[in-house]
Amino acid sequence: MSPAAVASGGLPSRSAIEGWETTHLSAGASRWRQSAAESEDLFARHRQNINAPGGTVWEGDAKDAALDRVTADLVVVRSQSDVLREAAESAEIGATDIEAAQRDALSAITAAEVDGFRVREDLSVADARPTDISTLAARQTAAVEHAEDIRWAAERLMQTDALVGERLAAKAADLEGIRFDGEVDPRDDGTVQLVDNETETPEPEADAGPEESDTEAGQQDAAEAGSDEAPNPKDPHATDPNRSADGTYGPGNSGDGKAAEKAALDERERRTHVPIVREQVRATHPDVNNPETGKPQQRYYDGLEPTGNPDEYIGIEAKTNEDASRPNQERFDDAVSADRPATAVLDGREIKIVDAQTVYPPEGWVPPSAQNSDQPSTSGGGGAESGASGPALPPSLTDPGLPQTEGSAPLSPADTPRFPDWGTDLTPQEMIDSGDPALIVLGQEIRRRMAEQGTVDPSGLA
Amino acid sequence: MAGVSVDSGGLQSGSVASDEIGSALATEDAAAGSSRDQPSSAGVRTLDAAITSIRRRQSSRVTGDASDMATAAARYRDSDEQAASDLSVTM
Repeated sequence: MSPAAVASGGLPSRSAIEGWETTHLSAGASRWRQSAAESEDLFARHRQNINAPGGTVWEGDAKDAALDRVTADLVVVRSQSDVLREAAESAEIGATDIEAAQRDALSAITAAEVDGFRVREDLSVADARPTDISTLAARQTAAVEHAEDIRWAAERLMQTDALVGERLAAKAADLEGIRFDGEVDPRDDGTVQLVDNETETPEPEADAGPEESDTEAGQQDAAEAGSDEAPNPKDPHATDPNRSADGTYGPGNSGDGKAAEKAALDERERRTHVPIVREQVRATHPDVNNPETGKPQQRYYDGLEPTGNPDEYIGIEAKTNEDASRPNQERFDDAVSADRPATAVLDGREIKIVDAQTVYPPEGWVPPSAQNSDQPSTSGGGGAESGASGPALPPSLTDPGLPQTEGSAPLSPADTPRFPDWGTDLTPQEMIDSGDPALIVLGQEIRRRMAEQGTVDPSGLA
Repeated sequence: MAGVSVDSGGLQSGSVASDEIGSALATEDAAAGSSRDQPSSAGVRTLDAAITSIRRRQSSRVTGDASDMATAAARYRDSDEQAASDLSVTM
């Protein structure tokens, strides 16, 4: 992956995925095994030199002391070599895992193209077929799912590669910790300096024009493809509601929904004393398909609670209140059981989700927007009347004549899906386009939930 | 104290051989050097750096032993010569 081959949001670009390499891992594994064997051999020869220097007999206290020392040293060298061999095995397994993740990502891209979509360098998906009003909604749903599949696979590729790197770095630390008797200051003898994982920031290149244009076009297409969730550094952080994806804090990332989720999960942990994994993973169930597409229904839980069995979890859904029901989620959750678990991948390992439970913020919990009246409320909370006319809204959002975003689905109020307690007259796309950080987050969240449920919002209203 | 038996020439020879081993440990094959910015590449570089470090330490350990052997050989020889000299004076 070259520095310039990073798509927005830290995801690899399509060409980076296609050119992802693992040869450095296999070459490293071979090198480390060779080094381990060589060290052991050389130290064994050194010990023999002390035991019988120049092939002569050496006896006495000095010889005994020297032999004891070199024998102990040989044990240390063998320990170091064992770690090297473990690192080599880890690298080889890691290479296999990375190659599998790369194949998955490429398969996701291929599946989209076979289905008549174009996958751009930034992984955005656009319909390559002529627009047909009768199939527009279904194509839009399919585009969303393909885009989500591709991004998920690309993320998994990145995560798998990162995990391999972390394991090797851990082995390096292990290696550094195995020392000869009497070695004191690790920095006196050229101790290892950990190599950072700094990546160069992609800079605009003189010949990058077409690609930039491509990206912009991809973002426009993202609306029709439902991929307006294209990774953005200022998107909400995956696990920390108060931070952006790039790790920075921002007032726009502290929406009530995220705060409620955190409060609900915190409350669950307080009651059970079981730490919840707050990493959203995409779960599927063998018995649950999306009724519109016939493809496996995808389900994102807000947290995963370990059951105590290896790789087994309870899926935790955090909701603001008991009225916030979602039929698709409930249908999925009803199918989840110990006998018929859902599956997902967490940190590169397949996990089982054997139960699903819904949690709520503790009684008396107050949304952040209600705690500070100086902050504009974006979560509505009170219903439709409070969503679109807050004092901090940009003028474009108060303009009733705001044009429908190109590519949005036609109006069809009868099919409007139900989204809980976020009443607003704005479409998610209008929120995203608003320029208001809080509304952007909210719009993206609604889009994400829609994608999760595999539903289309025909009315354009959330 | 156990009986002492030593061939200072053999000990000196052993010292030279171990010193060569120490040099061999210091001259490991250079890593190919991956310049890719994949996270796993950073892990490989980190481990390569750790190996360079431990090989240097291993080399230092062995060359230290070799130096001790050379010193011991010289002292055995000196002691033997001094003892021989003392005995010849006494006799």
